Amino acid sequence: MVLVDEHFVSFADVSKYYQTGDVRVAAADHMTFHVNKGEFCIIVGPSGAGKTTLLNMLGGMDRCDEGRIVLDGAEVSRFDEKELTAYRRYDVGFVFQFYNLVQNLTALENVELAIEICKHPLDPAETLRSVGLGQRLNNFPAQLSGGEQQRVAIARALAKNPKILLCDEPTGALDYKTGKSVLALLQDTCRKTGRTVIVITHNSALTGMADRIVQVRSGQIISNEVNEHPVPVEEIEW
Amino acid sequence: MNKTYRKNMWRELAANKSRFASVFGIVLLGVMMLSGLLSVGPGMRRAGQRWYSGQNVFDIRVVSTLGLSGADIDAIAAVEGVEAVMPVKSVDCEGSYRGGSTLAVRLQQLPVYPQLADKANMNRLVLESGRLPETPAECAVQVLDSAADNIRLGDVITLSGYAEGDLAEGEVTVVGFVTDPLYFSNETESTTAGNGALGLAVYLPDGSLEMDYYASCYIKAAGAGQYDNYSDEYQAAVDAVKARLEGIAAGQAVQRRDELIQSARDQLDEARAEFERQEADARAQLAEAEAQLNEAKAELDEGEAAYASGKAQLDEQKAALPGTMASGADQLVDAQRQVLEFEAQLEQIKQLVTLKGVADPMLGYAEDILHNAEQALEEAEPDDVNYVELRDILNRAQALYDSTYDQLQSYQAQLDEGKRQMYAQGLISSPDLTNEELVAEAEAALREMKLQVLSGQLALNTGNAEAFTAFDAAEQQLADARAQLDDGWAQYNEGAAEFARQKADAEAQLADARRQLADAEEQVDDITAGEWYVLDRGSVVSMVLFEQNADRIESIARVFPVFFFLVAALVASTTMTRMVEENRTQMGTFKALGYTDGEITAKYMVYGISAGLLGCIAGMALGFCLIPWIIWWAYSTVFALPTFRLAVYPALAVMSVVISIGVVGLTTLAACRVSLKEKPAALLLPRAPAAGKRIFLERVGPLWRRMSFSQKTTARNMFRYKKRFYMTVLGVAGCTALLLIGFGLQDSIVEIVARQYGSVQQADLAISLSSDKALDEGSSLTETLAARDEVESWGAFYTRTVSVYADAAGAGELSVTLVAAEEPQKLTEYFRLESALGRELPFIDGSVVLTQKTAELLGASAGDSIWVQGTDGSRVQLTLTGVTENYLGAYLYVTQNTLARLVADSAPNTVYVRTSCADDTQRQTLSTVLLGCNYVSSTAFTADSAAMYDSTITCINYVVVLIIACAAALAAVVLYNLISVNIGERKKELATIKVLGFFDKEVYRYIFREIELLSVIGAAVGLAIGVPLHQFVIRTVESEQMMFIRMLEPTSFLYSVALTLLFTVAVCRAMRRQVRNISMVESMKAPE
Repeated sequence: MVLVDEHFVSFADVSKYYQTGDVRVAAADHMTFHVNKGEFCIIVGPSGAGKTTLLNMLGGMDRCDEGRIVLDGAEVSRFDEKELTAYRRYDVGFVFQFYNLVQNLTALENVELAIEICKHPLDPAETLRSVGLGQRLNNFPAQLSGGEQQRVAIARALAKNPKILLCDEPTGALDYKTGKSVLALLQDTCRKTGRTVIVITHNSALTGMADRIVQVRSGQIISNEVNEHPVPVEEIEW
Repeated sequence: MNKTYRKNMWRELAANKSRFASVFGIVLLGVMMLSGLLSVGPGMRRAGQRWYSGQNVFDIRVVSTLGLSGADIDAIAAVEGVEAVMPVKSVDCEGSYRGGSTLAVRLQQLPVYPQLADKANMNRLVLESGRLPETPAECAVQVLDSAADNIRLGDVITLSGYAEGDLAEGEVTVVGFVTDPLYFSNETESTTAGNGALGLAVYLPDGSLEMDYYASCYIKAAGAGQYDNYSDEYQAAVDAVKARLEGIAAGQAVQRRDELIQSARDQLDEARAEFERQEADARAQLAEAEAQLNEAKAELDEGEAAYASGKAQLDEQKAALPGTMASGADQLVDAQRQVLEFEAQLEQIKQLVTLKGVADPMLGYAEDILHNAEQALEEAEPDDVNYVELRDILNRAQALYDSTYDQLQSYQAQLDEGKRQMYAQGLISSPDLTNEELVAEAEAALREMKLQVLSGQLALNTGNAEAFTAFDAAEQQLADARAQLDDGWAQYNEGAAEFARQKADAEAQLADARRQLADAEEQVDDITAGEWYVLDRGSVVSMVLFEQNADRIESIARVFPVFFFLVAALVASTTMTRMVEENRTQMGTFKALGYTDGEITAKYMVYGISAGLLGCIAGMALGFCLIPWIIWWAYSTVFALPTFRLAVYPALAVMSVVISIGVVGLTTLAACRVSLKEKPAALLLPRAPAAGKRIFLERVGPLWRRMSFSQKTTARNMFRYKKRFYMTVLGVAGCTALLLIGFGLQDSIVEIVARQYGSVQQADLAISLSSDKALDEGSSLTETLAARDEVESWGAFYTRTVSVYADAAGAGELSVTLVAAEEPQKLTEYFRLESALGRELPFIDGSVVLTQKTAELLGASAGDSIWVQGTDGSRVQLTLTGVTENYLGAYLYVTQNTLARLVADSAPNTVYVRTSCADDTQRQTLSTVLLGCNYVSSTAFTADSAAMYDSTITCINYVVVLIIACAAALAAVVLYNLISVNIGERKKELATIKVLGFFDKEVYRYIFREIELLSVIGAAVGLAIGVPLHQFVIRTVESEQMMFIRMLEPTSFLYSVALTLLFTVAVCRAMRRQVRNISMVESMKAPE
């Protein structure tokens, strides 16, 4: 048994099964890994490897069937629905592949939507400015480019002042250049605020920028290594 | 269509079960309402038609005010187009059974073969139980009033109040229960007998009624039977024959009148003769009685005189009694004194006798002495010394002798005198008695006298006693005589009083008889050229009521289900449209795969049409069965028609299918076409999300700033998807409007009876008069009205049904009741004249006030002209001075001046009465009394009319409740559909906010606040469109003679909004699970 509490985020023997008919498929198969506080962690793996399942469980959107998930000393895997909601609310910031902005709210309002329910939120306008959208506060999502929308999404996640930022393929819907700038923003955020950021991607080229790289395949963790020399995203090509 | 595509189609269907179910449900409700309500009216008419033809109900009937003679019947049968005739004898009278109260009964004589299947055997009875009567002492009955509900087979009905000689048997035994095809409603049949409401129809076998005329003649019109009762062709066939019958009416009526007058005159003459004979008899009897009385009085007077004289005599005797007694006593004293005197006399006599007895010897001695002295002298010589002595002695002796003798003589004389006296007194027997005898007799006489005195005393005393006894007896006799006399007087007085009473009675009876004769004479004079009434089925209360109810249902069904169906169609079609729109990516994929537009469209068409068709079929199944069944069940309390059948109406069914499938199919098709017009590539791309836009509210800065963030979100969300907004608002509005119409129908209909009879019309009772003589001073009616305590007030009115027109040419003919009061102020006392806005209308000379519905139909308002048909046939122009609120019937109120322009004879023919009658019993009592008055042809209590309308309205109310229930069901389904569509479309959004850490409650608030607000807006819009729709429905349901309350009650607004919101909240609550179950994984999906 690994002493998980030493780490900021730790998965210990976490399994998740899906029952389809008679077949039981393990989406997460005894996953064990950890992430330290302030690390920029990239979880990488091909489609269907169980990345999203992992993220869902870590983000409190889904529950594991076996094992322990601990975040900052709290055992997330033992939370009930209500505790999970509170956990999502106060401790997790989520960035989606398709931004998931509320279309009828302005950039500022989208951020406000999230911080309204938080305990110690950051100033929404300030947060937007910090992601470079100072001029677009009152624009609706439809008036923003994809990258701008994803920045709003990141600002929405950050403004909640969460313990951890979880990003699901944040560049998946973006072009190369915009994707890069979004990743740069995430990396900067991690460096500047010391916030733990976990990015899920299928693009292994990105791993160079991470402090920690977790490789996932067929529901299993195949490696969990620390990158001693992370490079800025600008220097990465893919 | 290949296999996989079909699979996809079925999976689509399975995956969208709730959408399928809601389209199914909405179409079901719409079609159910449409087919159900629309089929009730025709169903009722079919039931009626089946009944009329099954029981061979007449087409035309002729009744005459004078009855129909055999000649009349023959004349009718001879009229062209009369296919069959059935003359019927019937009479209304009274009857009671098992000692119960008296009911008005209608006796009707059945034909010889009551069940004969023959054209001429009309109105065949339906035997419900028992058997038909066979002898005049048997009858079959139909209960027409609940008062007779307890009659049983075997009960004997005792009949009364029928004319002499009309009936074979006065007591009839109930042997069967029947239903007369003419009496199938619970409506009261009116009559002039008894209390005016028929309790029983009594059917007697042929030969039971013995009058020589027929009450009515039923007729079958040639060619009418082939048409439906409610068709114009039928009415035309009947009207043709009616017109011909009316053509012979006048002639027949005159003929019948002559007959009747002749026979009435004969009867009257007979009656008058009889009266005169009886009058003479009565007078003779009275005279005799009077003579007897007088004789008795004379006898009594005589007795009185005898008594008086007896009493006087007695008084005299009583007065005389003390005198008699005194004289008796005096006599006794006298007698005693006489006795004493006599006794003294006797003592004297006795002394004398004794003295004489002593003296007599003395005389002898004196003689002797004398002798001796003489001798001595003779012997002695004169010179003897002794001589002188001797001579002296001799002289002395001589003197002695002489004196003694004288003494004796005096004694004797006294005695003789005494004797003589005594004799004279009759005390002694003879005056020559010796002294001794004298003494003896005198003593005897004295004794006798004493005895007499004693007996006199005795007699005196005895006499007194006797006298008193005699007085007592006499007094007793007198008292007896008094008592007898008093008795005699009492008897006499009694006799006299009796006589006076009898005489008064007799006089009264005679006067009565005389008046009756006068009345009868008048009535004979009144026998006008009787009128024939040629009537069709519209004269049968049950049939009219039945048709009215069918009409009412049809008029409700004309509009409401259409609205209902429209709402359903709207929601069903928007549901399909949204489904198509949601599926654009899939459509793009299929298109990209090379499927044709037709194939792609087919999938959605099959989905929509199968949901619609199944809903349609289920809706028709319910609509054609359940709804008519429920409504007919409601009507079964009013109509006892066994002929109602559930039926499928093909035209209606086809229409329902075509419309519902058409609406759903066309909208689906249209939506598919719109989507498929785009290039596949465009379809495959996620549609650009509708741009967030500043909404109007944001421009209201102060308000917007004050709104909380989530309120702003809600506000923006609502207006972002205009289509969703309109769809939800319209759907909800439709339901609220339907509910409002439903509740509004209730408001409009239920209260009208109370309004009409509680506030508009103030009279409780209308009495129809056959002549204005009814109101003459001292008539039986005016006296009854004055005498009855329950009559509070009454007024004489003229009423008549007249035609009114919108212009002089006779356009827009409507029928109204013309009303004018004999005393102008009475009109407003019995009819409240108020404008629809509640303003009282002045009613002064020249005022012409029309009731609202008629005014609306004529398009006339105060100040406009209307034309009224006068009795002379001309159209008289009147200027309306006001339009008054009125719900039942149609009235034109005018003053006497105006009335005189309209009718030739404006004598009152109606009396409106306000009574204090609290219940049926009191009303029936009053009605019975009033119907007994002269010239009263009928009485009608508004309570009875109110009851009739009430039963109709109760039935309509059932329909309305059904409508409300269906509207509520539709509202529930529509809201479920709208809300589930709304949630379905926003799954991703909801998943995202869940990921953001919204608690369930916050998620609910986020989504449901919006939906609830949409419902509130929808409900408000629903109220706004519901009000005019309600007006429209109400005006469609109204008839010429019936206006409904146009105002909606606040509670109806409240209920319809409350129900809508209740369903919203309930559906939202039910949807919580669905929202809770939205997986956050949704948020990861690409936008569709």
